[in-house]
Amino acid sequence: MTRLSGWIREILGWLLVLAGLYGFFVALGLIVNRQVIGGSALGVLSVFMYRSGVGFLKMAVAARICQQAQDRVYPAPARPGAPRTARPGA
Amino acid sequence: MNAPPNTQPLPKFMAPLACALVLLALLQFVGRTTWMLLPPGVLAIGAFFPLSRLPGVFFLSLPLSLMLETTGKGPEEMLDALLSPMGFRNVGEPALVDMQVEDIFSLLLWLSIAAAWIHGFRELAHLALAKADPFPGPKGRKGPSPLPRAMPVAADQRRSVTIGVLCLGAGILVVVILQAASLSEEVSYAAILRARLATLGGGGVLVLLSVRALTGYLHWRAMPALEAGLVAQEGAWREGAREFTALDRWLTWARLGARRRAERQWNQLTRRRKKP
Repeated sequence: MTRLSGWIREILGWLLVLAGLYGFFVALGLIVNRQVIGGSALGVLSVFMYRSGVGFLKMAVAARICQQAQDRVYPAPARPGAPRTARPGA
Repeated sequence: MNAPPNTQPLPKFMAPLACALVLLALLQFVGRTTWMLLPPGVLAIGAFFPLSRLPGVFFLSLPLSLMLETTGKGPEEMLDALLSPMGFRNVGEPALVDMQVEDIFSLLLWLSIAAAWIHGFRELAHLALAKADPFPGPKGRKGPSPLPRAMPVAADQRRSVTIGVLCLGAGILVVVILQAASLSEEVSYAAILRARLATLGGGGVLVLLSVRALTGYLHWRAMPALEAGLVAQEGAWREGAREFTALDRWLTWARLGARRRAERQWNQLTRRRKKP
């Protein structure tokens, strides 16, 4: 569940970053076409989206690295119904 | 820890660049052909060269453009001369440059755009260097930190620089497309100047944001588990600080209320005991 939420966060972060960059590009086009107020408002919104997307990405990557480190230190126990591997020499 | 040579920041670069730009501006006054556009063109195409070679190619293009200028014929006229035996005539119009005030302003804007691109390169080089030092510390401190993130960075550094250069190239394409789109709708010179101003500010920021997002992602992927834990703790604190503060405040009021009630009950009890 933690891994799934991490991936969701990462995908959401990339989507937000791309949406922020696209919004900034659209705002640039608006400013070029003399719609300065609308372009500025869209630019500010895009910067917020970009920042939140970057925050999402950073948190998702950090959570994934923590989860990998935890899995290395505390590996998941084998399920009771799982077939046992034959010990060498047995 | 020494960084690879292609990621070194451009060494003492700004003073010769300023001299070169002054020379370039003077060249625009004396120029009669379109060879004067060679150095800015090199700056634009230089996005696809390695970082350390761009200033050298740019400085080389200055005397080259001056030398070609002395021929008195622009590339269009040379193309005409080349193609005329094959039956093609007047491929390009002769470009005589008559510099007016708005031309100089436009030229300065173009040079500013080039400077913004160069700043993007410098920023990229500094980012590539900063990745080798995860705890930069104060500005005056020399050398890497005692805990360098050497192994993952060495693997990822070349890839991140390549991605950054590709981002810069894509940003230049965006600028070109944006300018072409705006010029096709309105042809007045004020529109051109406005488009260049907007692309100067916005295009540079757009490119830098893209580069920062990609290189930052590669940087975060290489962080060790300890730093990841700290980052996760900081993020959890930022996301939950307000709620925790509200809960703490409510708990504090609850504790204070319980204490007041207990004191009141105690006072009532002691008054009852004193009365008889």
